[in-house]
Parts: sequence; C-alpha cells; structure tokens
Amino acid sequence: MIHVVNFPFCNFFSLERYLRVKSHRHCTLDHKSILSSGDTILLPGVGTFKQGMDYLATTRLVSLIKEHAKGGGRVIGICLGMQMLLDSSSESPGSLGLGLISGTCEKIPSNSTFSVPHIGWNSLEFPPSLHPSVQLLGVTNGSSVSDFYFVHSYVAHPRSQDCVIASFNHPDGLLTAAIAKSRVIGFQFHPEKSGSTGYALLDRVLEL
Amino acid sequence: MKKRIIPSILLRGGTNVSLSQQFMPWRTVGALAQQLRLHVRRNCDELLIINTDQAGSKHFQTPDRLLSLVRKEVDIPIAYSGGISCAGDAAACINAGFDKIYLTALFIDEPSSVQSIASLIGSQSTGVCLPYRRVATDGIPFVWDYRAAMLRQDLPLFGALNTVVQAGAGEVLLYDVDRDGSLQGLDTSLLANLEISQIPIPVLMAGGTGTAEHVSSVLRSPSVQGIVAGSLFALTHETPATIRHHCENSGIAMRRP
Repeated sequence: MIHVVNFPFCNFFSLERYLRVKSHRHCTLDHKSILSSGDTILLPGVGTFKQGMDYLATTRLVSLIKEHAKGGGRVIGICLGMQMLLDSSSESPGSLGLGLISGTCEKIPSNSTFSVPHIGWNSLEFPPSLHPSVQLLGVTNGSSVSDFYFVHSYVAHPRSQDCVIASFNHPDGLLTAAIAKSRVIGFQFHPEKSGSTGYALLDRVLEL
Repeated sequence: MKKRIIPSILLRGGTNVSLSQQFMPWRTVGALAQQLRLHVRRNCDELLIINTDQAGSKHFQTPDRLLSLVRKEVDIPIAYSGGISCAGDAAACINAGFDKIYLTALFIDEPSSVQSIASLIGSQSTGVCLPYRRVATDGIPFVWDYRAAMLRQDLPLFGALNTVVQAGAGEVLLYDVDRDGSLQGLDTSLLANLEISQIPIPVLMAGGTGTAEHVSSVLRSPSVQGIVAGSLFALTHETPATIRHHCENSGIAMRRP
C-alpha cells in the first residue's frame, strides 16, 4: 500500500494520477494510519519548507514518518518532500526537517547563465561510483537519456556525498537532484510531471 | 539551462478553446479535452491555461470540468492564469493539479500581493504575466491593462519587470499584445535591454510566433528561457518536436524527451 501525504498545497493530484493510471493501491496518510514495513510513504510538496513541516507537525505525521523509516519502511520525497527529508533549510530558519538524511537545503546560486528558480527540463548526472540506488534511475554512460522536470529555488546539501545518487549541472558545479539512504529516497525533480520517462522511474522505485 | 516550448490554451465560455488576436478572443478552435490530449501526446515542455472567463473577475472560480480534465489527462507541467485575486485562490490552483500560476491584474493593482502568494506556494510556482504595448511602433513599451483596454504609461515594461523581481515572483511572461495572433514574429527588440538588465528569474516571451525561426531568434538570447504560443500550434504544421529539432540544429540546448 502507498500512503500519500495530502498537503493542503501540493502536487497531490499529479501523483494521484500516476498511482491511478498504474493501478497502485494507495490512500491518504493520516496519524491513525497503520503501516507495515512493506508500505511506502509518498511525500509530495509544493511551497515553502516551513509550510510543509508545520503541516506535518499539526497533523501529527512527523513521528509516524520517522518511525516508518526507522523500521525499514520506504519513504519517497518529491521536490519539497525531498527537502523535508533533511535536517533544515535556509528558506525557513528555525524549522526542523524530518532528519532522515543528514544535511541542509540552501538557495541555488544565481548567475547570468542560470536563472533561479530553476524551472524547466534538465538531465541527471550520476556519480562515478555507482550507488546501488542509482540503478533505479536508468543510468547510461553517466547521464540520463531523457530530461526531467525541475521547479525549485532551494537545493539539498546532504552531509555525506554518498547519499547523492544524481545531480544536475549548474555553472558552479553539480548540484543535488536525488538522494537515497537505505529505503529513504528523494527526488528534487518531478517524475510525476516528466511524462512517460518519469512514470517509468517511479515504476522502478516502487518495484524495488 | 534547457529552453522551453510552451503551448497556451485560451479558454472562453467554459472549456471551449479559442485563439486570440491582440489579446482579444478571436476564433474557437476546439474543446479543452481534445487540446490537452494533443499537447500531452506531442510532449510539449509545459502547458499554460489562460482562462479568459475569469479575467478581471471578483469571484474566483474554475470550472469543475477543467479541473477534472487536468487531473485525468495531464502528466506534464501545467500552469494556470485568470482571475486569481489572493493567496487562497493560488493555493486552490496548486491543489487542483497546476504546478504554477500567473498573475496579471493582481500584480497591476497590488504588486505586494505577489509576495504573500509566493510565501504560501513558493516563488517557483508564482509567475507574473505582463501584457505590453507601445505608443509608437519603436516607442517605449508600457504595461497594457486589458480590463480597461488602456496603456499604463505609469508602468514602463522594464520598470514593471524590476518590480516583479522585487515582489518575489519566480518567473515572468512578457506578452506583446500587438503581435498576439499575428504569426509575424516575436518582439526581438526587447532582447538587448533584457540582456543588459540581467533579470535573475526566468523570462518567457509570447506574442507573434509563426515559425520555428521566430522561436530560435529569441531563444538564442541567454536572457529568454522559453516561448509561449497559441496560434502557432493551431494554424501551422509546427509541433513542439519540430521546433525543438530546429532549435537544436541552431545550437540551442533543448529538452531531450
């Protein structure tokens, strides 16, 4: 079963479409939900870090999500949902993230050749040492065959680079596009908005 | 950054799709369901829905049919424009399945409202559309207020552009009203000023696209991230794929579907 966090302002219906089209059993997560370790929690998200974490706190989902991850359950964060997997974000000083992967989020550096927010399609670049989770992204020769859709102003800086399973190109160097640690996975881009390629990626993640 | 090709869908009378000329609905070309399926199948980079029924409206409401079609048909990025008057309206659009919203009237009347909307849904989901015209053909461009059909000579386009950035918007669409629906080419006269201005957020352009060459003439500029077009995709044989191919051959980085 896939449990989706239904934030009051998020890409819930985009994810719901994917789950419906692909006939995945799914429901909305609430604090009374009973999860087994084989279940998946999907954390979507559009908006600010504080708005997202405040919602998780007021709906009493923070400990539920943490316990699920601690017990070996799968948690997948997308966009803001991925950023909330980390400890904090400079977007919302004082707001604590879920802390499932150590690190912070910082504003993307802007310059004359890279506008911020980062909006549009970009390829994924993969680290030379293949993280086991990289396989789910469909690697060929170090970069993705197709592009994926990004729409964000902040980017993850995990404490350990071992958690970075994909990056995107920025004039200052590679920035984080996807992270993974055990069964906690985050995508900065939107696979649910990246057409058939994005749907195929989500298929691979959920089949793991 | 990869450049974007963004078809626009102009809604008029519920879910009828219309083309426009000089920012006025002109000719009905089909129904929303059919247009959504077409653009999704063609792998366009994003879609923009402009709801003219809501333009300038005091009571924000989107047709249920529009929302159900977006949820049913769309697996690509989609933005909404038309009648958003507060942060709650913007959040309702995001909840309904849209990825971004564009403001025009609200920005003209109350630029500070952009900040309150961006603080709720994020600046990356908050865009501003600036329709503009000139007094003379080669004159200074000013913002065009479509509600009063009036040139706002107190709002020069580049001044308004800076206000958009300061107000916290994440993207801006510059829409040439006089070229709208003409198929005569985009307004390349803006490019030099855009390059000098170094606008830090993505800039899109609309109005007048009629050929793939029109698109590449604008996307060669590092200051423009994408084009929005309606008539191009309804009245010519061009598709996002043919335009992408032409732009790639012109040395412009485009999305790989």
